[in-house]
Amino acid sequence: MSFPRRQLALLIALPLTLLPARGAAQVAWSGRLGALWTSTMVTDQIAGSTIELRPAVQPALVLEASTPIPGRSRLDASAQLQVTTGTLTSHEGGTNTDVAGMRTLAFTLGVAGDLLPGVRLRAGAGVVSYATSEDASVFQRGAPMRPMGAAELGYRRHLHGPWWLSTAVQYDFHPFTTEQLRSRGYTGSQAVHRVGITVGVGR
Amino acid sequence: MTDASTQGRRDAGTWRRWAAIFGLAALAACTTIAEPLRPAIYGYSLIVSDTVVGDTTIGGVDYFAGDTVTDTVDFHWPASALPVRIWVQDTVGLPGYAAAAIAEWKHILQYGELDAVLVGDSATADVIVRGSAPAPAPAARPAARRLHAAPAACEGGTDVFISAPDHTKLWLPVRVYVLPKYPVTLPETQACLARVTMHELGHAFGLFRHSPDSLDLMYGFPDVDAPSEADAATILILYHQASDLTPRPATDTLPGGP
Repeated sequence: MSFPRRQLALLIALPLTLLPARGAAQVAWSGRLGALWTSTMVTDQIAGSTIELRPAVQPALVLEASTPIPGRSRLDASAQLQVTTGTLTSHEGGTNTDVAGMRTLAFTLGVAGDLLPGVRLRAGAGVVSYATSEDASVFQRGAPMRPMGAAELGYRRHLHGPWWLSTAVQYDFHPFTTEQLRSRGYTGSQAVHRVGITVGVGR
Repeated sequence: MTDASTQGRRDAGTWRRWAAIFGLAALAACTTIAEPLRPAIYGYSLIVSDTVVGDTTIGGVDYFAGDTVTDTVDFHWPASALPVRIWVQDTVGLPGYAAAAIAEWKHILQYGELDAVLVGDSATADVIVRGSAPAPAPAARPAARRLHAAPAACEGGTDVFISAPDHTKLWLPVRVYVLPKYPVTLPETQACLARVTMHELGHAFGLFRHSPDSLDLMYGFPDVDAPSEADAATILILYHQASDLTPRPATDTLPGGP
């Protein structure tokens, strides 16, 4: 299993170290759980049949910290961490074969602001890192870390005290390839789109 | 009013910048991975021919005693039989060579078509790999084939038993033999054992014929250390075609058993 944890941890830790300087009261936190759908990661044609590799719908955990951008902007700077876990499956002619357990860890930095009262839009950019339960399938020669873009439309409703209910529809995309695919002669990257819906609380 | 207007313009500018970044990134990401150009494949099917002992019907066709049934059969391990259980005799470094061979073939079959594990009990194995002299050649037995590889420093063979005369079942275990000709301390012998083990497991995984090209691992006198692009393309095609044989334990008391 290859997982560039050190680089990712640094990437996450750096912006978070800036948050205390903004004052705890100005930092809003939220945590949400939900489900994530992922588009096909690899398509191949062998002996006239089409093989597609994609994960099943996966559970997702999203943690976000945001703080107002200094100055007179009404926008927030936002850091978001998303974790998913699922099974990578090969689909061929109606037959599905589970090929490996798979996790993703995505970290994005971005801006967020209210479109309407309670309705929030977020745009971000960052990285997504893959990890698998074993060195299998297209991850036989390591799991990649890829750049990604993300957008999110959320809704917030006040619950009690500082707490609010938070729900969001998320979309992100990244170019996908692996060392195994390159070593087997595959060229280019596959645009992978992910759509998720999450519900949680924040304060 | 002026402050609010300035703030609005600033926020709009921020959104525009992010929209531009997002759009450019989306454009850059809008690609499709392209599969490799795969070379021509070689034949992998086994031609089996058996004589019918008594009157029988096979696949809706009536045969009479003395008739000959000839079939071209393909085999790959079905998903339901994975992982293929391989027992390897612990001699002349065979377990290590077998593990490396499994990794090489799995490296090609990356969509979960093949999985194989080494097991400690030969009684439950689908494939048995021995470093000792093979049993007498099975040529006299119905529908049994020995696929033989003989480079300079070692040799190998794989015996496959197919139900006769219907040619619909592969009797397990598949038996593989890998034998050194020279002392195993010699580097060329070790390289040969590694190469021939990989070659014979190629047979056990379904490549039932030899390649005519000496640059392929499945050539009858293998001289390369890993599957070539043609080997890869051939086993890929094999695993995405229908299989004619169903693996069954030889203990089955079915007609046509070994």
